[in-house]
Amino acid sequence: MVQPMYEIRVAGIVPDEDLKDMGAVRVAQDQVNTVLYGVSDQTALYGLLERLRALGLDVVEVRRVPDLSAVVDEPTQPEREDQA
Amino acid sequence: MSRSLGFSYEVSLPGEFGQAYLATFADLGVRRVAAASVFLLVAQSAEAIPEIAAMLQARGLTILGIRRVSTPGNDFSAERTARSRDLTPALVTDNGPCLLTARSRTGALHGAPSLAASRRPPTCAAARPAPTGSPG
Repeated sequence: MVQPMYEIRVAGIVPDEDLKDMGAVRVAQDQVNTVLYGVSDQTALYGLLERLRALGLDVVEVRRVPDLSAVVDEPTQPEREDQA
Repeated sequence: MSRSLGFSYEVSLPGEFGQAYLATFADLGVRRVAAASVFLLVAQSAEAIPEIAAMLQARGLTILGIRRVSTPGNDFSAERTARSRDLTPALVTDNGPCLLTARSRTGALHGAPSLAASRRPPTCAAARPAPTGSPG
């Protein structure tokens, strides 16, 4: 029987005492991540990942997320009129 | 014209970085950098997300994500791994087996530590399926 386990991500750095109080299990020795936000598109992502690799930095996660600041205007399709 | 939601990417790196790195990230087009803590909680009930959210809220923590990584009576990761092995053909490169690094739901990394340690990109482009059975 495996007890339900939840992965929690919170902003900032949680003090060790708080983690102990909550009964948290460390995911890894280094449980603090630095999250880079606002990589605008896939081309920029690819360039960033290449640079990070060149700097010798590990990447643990990449996620595509909705960007409220990047609302895109799309042309609407004109309605087709059936021709007789 | 209709308006649709755009997308951007979040990239997580382990550890914390000093000002020099932060400046470099900004030069690379990153709009914002923030620290995040990741840890696991063992819950007493299967429907514990509201309880966990309430506890984090009470401690003044900003929740970025909560997700269940194992379920009662079902070792999900082991089952999934076994199923993946059945479905995924082994890949072999000219330099030997091509190991694909994956991050499990528990956060553990599986795969080729030697590739990660050497900072070399995994070169599986020339991978070919492993021969099955012995040649006649």
